[in-house]
Amino acid sequence: MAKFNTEQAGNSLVVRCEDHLNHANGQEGIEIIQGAFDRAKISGSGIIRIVLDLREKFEFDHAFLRGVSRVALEMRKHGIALLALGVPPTARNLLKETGMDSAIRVVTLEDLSEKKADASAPAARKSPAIDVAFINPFLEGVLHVLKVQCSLDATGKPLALKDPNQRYTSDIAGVIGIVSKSFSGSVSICFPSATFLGIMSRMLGEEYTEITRDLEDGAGELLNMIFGHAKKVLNEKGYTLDKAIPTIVRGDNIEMRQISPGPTVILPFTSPVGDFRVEVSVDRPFSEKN
Amino acid sequence: MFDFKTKVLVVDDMMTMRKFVMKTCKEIGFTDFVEAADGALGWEAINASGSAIGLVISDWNMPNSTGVDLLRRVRGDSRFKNLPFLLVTAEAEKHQIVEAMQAGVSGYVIKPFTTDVLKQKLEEVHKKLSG
Repeated sequence: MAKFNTEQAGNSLVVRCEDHLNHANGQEGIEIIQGAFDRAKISGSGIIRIVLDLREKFEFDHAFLRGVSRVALEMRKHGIALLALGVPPTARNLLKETGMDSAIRVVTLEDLSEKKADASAPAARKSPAIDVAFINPFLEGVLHVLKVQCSLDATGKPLALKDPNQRYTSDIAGVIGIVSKSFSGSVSICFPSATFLGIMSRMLGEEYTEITRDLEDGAGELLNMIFGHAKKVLNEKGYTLDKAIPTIVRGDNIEMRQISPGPTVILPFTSPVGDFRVEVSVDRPFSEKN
Repeated sequence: MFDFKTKVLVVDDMMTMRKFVMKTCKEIGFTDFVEAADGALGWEAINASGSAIGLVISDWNMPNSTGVDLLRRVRGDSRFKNLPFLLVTAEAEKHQIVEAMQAGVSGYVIKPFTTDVLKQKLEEVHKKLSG
């Protein structure tokens, strides 16, 4: 049995093989990387890359590389990069020839210094999915808007990355598409009917039992205010978010699906009138803001 | 403070926000309202009312005709030169505020806001225009 050592260094998880990695223990190595990925995608982990340190321990094994590249492709959907350190030339060539290098990024120790990595490894750039500095203003905006506008004390639950294999439904949603120098993507607020009706009843001081056409724009208005709050905070930090107009999406058990190569962060909330969530989807890394 | 019999024109493309503004104004004491869904319709309402409308509370960002468009038309007509005009916005940027000031806005309020905040803003507007 090969011995692996996994440790966190800043926003990286480093998986180091302490024994020689070969065909006999390759499957075990893949499982260790899968485990590191599972750990990285836990909400709030802050991990944006996994570094597989194979220096002086790797004996060429095609099956191992194929297995790792499968995990790496899945990781990429969650905005987590897989960097491999110490990959020998034969394996490097194979990665290139088979296209697996698009999933596994071979790096040197020098590349891993913060500056070099940012400049030369786009896949490992700071991921928006776990950029708390970006997400927090939206979270604060939700709490602030509901408190002031609807006298409602909502509570944020732990953030999570949207699982592409899971269904997330709602009955009404407000969506704002954002294009700016710093960020392109979208922000949505998604409600089940009961929660939305409860919020509107609080906001407008009347009891509502049905989402009428007139009431629908409330989802957009709430999002407008939340976005306004977040935009002010983020623009003070150097982001350049532009003005945007919300769109309303309405239907029973509708599913919001972001057509975006980047990850979607889910901010779940609970409130005295029911649960709801905000989704922040990212098409382009924030690190491009400069 | 304003005479609560004053007719208030509430302009917003979002019905829920018009309802919210009217609900908040009712809590302050106002009872008489006219609604419009954008700046152009707001202008029609002001024109049609003659001098009956005594206060305008308008959203800033609206499709077709914005709150500032409406403000410019209002201030461009000598009959409404002193009509109290409050702009409401979710994202007031410095250049927007300067633009609204130059167009002759009486005051502005940032969403979300409470009844107390709106009341205070209206008191400031009334004081400014009375002084």
